[in-house]
Amino acid sequence: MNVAKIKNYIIENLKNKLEQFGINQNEIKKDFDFVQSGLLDSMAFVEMIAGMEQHFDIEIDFENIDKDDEFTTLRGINELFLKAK
Amino acid sequence: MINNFTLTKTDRHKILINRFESALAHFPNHPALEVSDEIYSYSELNNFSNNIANCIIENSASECKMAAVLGQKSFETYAAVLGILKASKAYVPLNPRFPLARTIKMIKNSGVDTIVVSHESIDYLKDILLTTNIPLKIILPGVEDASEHISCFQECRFFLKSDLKNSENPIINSNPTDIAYLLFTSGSTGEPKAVAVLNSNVTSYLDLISENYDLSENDRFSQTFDLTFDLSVHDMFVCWQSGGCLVIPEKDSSFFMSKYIRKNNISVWFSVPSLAVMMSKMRLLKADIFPTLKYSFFCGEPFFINTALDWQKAASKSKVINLYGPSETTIAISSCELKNEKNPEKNGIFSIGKVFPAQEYCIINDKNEVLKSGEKGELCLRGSQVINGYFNDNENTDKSFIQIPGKGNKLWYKTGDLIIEETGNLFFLGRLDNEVKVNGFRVNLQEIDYIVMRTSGSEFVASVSYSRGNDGVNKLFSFVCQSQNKNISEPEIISSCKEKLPWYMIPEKVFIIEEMPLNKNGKIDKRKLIKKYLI
Repeated sequence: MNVAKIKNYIIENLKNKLEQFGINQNEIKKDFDFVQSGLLDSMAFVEMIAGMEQHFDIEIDFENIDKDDEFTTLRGINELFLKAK
Repeated sequence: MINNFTLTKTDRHKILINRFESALAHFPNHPALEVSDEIYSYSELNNFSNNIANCIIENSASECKMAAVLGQKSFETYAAVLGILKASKAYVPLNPRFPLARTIKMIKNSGVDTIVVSHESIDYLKDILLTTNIPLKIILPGVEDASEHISCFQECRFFLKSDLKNSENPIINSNPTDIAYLLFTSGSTGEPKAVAVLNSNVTSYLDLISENYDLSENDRFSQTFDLTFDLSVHDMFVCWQSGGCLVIPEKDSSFFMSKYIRKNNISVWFSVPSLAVMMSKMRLLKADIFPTLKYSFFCGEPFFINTALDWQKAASKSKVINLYGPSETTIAISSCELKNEKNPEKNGIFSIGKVFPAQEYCIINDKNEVLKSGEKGELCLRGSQVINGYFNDNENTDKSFIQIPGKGNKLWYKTGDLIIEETGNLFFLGRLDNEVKVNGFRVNLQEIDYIVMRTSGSEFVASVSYSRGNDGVNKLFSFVCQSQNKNISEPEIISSCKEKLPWYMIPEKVFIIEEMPLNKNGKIDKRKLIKKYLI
């Protein structure tokens, strides 16, 4: 697992949503926020993360996420998964 | 003039703002509100809301019985709710996250001439003022200088922080039969319905809570609901009538709710069940992780028994209570408490329990005949918590508030909920009409259809709510039949929905299909749609 694989997974997973919102995948940069942008609600975001946990066979420790981590951004997701590896 | 001094003690007790006033008299220096790392005592909150109240009294027309509040969860927003009530008016909450067109409809329909605006929503206010030309009085209690924002709006009058100097307690001259707050819920024709809740309705609910639960000035209350959602009235006023402290989450994000409960020693929790489902999915409901909780209330959507049990494990000292009630019956009108064993449930969904003792219910069939225990039908309610009707809307009032043969002259509110009563407990089975719940929000599917139809030009449109998991978390899906004369695309429809509907009403996906399946009666067969596209 690496940053590219994480991004690929997300883009593949959100293909339809991105199309709906007219967002080009090049716009998904590190500080793109999946929840703030309105693309996903919090529940859909958690579901996506749960799917990623399964896909990459990793368990995220949500307990210790700090509010400053901004983990709903691509950067935040990267950190979360790479830290847990 | 009727005022607080001429009303009897019983009537004074039936005025919402007096619940705050009486806690203020007992605990002036006790914390009432914690928001953005600041703690405000009852007397500090009182003084600030008096400033707002006196400005409203001096400037808003006395025949105008309501004033609006626009803001996120800030100190000014809560003070504005109290300030409007202290000015003997009803408050109309506006949400800066709602589409502009909807908010403007709410301003027009309620007929307010004054809006209290919290500092963070000033850009949204500008958008409102650019779109309408209603001559409004705008109170900005947290803003020192707004010249760059307001100079171009000549038809409005603005009052800034420096204009709000009078912190004396105003004389309250509300009556129990005056409206306390006005909320809007989804309606079928694109027009939101205005639910007018009276002071006596809401104080009946508050009495029921204070009689049944042991709450005090030492309790710390959560505040998870938006002000446009009537469950926020419970958050604020159950707290303030107890003399407790309302603790506002630092970030309005459900991801940090577990930390929020623990860090702030929350003792009374209230949320939609979805929030518990989400915390469970994030494995945050570990055994005994919330030792400070003594009551956990859930309301707004079906509560799955497994979610309730998960929550109970995490909050082992807490009573877990499932509340049920449409906004028209004021916050909640029935309850069921989770026990150690043998909890009443149906299809995995926890019972909504028993209707509160002072309220009445019956279950009817489609001919308005009263059914016996064990027969499923539509739940009807009446009593001191049930409103008289929709605001300025006889058509919807007549549809939903009816007489039932053999049940006297007094009107019953038809909930539209399909309910069965067994062994004394009520069970929610679903909706009878096009209204569904998504994360606790009421959504009329026809309102979505209406927007999709207008955008697509297609006559055949259907929306459904469907939960793909087994956790009861509903999502919205729309189906449009390709029309011959107009090419339509999903992004086009979604963007039109985003313009006109609140975020929770935007479909997860729009399917553009060749043919709409119809049933024997020629109606769109939603089951077939779900089976073909969603399962």
